[in-house]
Amino acid sequence: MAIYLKGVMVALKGLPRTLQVSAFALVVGIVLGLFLALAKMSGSKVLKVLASVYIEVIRSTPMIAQALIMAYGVPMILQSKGINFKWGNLLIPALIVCGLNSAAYMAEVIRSGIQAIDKGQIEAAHSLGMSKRQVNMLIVLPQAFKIVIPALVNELVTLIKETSILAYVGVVEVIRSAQLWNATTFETFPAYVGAAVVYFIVCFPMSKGVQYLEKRLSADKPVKKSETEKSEGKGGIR
Amino acid sequence: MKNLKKFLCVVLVLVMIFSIAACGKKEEPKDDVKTYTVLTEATYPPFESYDTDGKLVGVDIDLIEAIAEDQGFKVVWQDIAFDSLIPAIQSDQGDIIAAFMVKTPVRMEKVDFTEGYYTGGYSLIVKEGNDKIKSIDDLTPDMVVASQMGTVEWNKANELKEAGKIKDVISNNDFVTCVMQTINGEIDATLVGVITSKAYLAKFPGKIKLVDFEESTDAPSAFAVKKGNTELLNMLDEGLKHIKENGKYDEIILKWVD
Repeated sequence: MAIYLKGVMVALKGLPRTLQVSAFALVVGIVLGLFLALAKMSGSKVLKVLASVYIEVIRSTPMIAQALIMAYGVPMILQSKGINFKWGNLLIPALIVCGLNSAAYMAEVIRSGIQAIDKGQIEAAHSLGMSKRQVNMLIVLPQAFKIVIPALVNELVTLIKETSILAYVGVVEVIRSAQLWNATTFETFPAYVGAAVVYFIVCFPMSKGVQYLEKRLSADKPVKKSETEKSEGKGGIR
Repeated sequence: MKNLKKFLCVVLVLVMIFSIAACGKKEEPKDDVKTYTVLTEATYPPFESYDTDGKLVGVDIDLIEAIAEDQGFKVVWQDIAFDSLIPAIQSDQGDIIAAFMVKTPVRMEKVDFTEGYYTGGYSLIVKEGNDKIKSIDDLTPDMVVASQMGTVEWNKANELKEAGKIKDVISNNDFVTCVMQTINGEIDATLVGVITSKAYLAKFPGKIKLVDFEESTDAPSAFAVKKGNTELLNMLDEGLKHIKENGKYDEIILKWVD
């Protein structure tokens, strides 16, 4: 039993790094994702195509390939072109890859949130003389953000688990801590069970939190269609 | 829509038929000749690596094949991560480790080793043009050294870190990544076996150079089997003895190591 506890403790040492990378990627993902989502829905064809290409390329390739390309491939190709480039610290390409990767997923989440806003509201705002910018900033985005919060937390849970891939580009996060311990002690089972336990401890409460959020946030959603129909039906007696 | 469903049905049926057919093709090992699975990690030339045709080649490959021929068994090779070799043997996912593994006390607790067959030394690989590191003493507390996780070279690098002689150890899954990071300039040096460092120099001429450690490993490298598998261990030891006597061993070493 003590050996399993040790396994958890070893994996815990990598947790700060995992959380740092995830938090960074979350912030970059939301900011960049918002711009991507707006670009994808904008009137400009160029922006639309650029955003779509970016999102589809990232979403259709595995993060491990992106991480390996960024960490090892990019310096190599630049140096072969005579540009003296190196990362210096392998955490940098790891942060960039996670940020860029999560942006593509966040963009789709945010887009779905924005499109969930009733068109009538936008039309109403326009008819009140609001500019497009005002409509976005005051009407659409605040509501959209609330709608997508559960999905964003889900995305964060996925992100925390996905960062385990960074073990392969030299970032000592949870999985790498377990691997390093396994390499010296050969306690394979306790090492990786320890890592799994650490991920579970972090991710499970978040998943539960999402369920709670979904319940809470749906409480003040606009009245469902069937309900409006019903009330209309009642009033119809008149 | 209906057509699509039909098409999918046909595809699925075909996939099932082919997968069943593929199962049937599997070769059944003949009863009279035993087949053992040999585990290795092929980023360690000239002991084990892939040639340009993607074939597994090297000292360990030739030695094991020669021993197998001598002792009358067959082998199949499997290339896995170095730090998974011992766990894999412990969980019966392979029978023999042939990965130029040094007999360290910690490893000897987990697996049984044959007699040693070769003793190597340490070396540093640095980027071509690096004039700062000319010997092991030139490593400074601001430098970062890479090595393959779980190897004796990696242990050595960790010793250097603990002694405060270097800043950090980058632990990679394979030596190719270490050498790549050295070439990219991400790290100051790769700590690797001296014979392997020469093989890498031959692979990347003009990109890296070697700094000899002038220090050999504490113990020789040997093949390993699961703890308690004395039958196989004896066969390997017996075979190793035979090929040392009949000159086959020297022939193999001469072929790969100058």
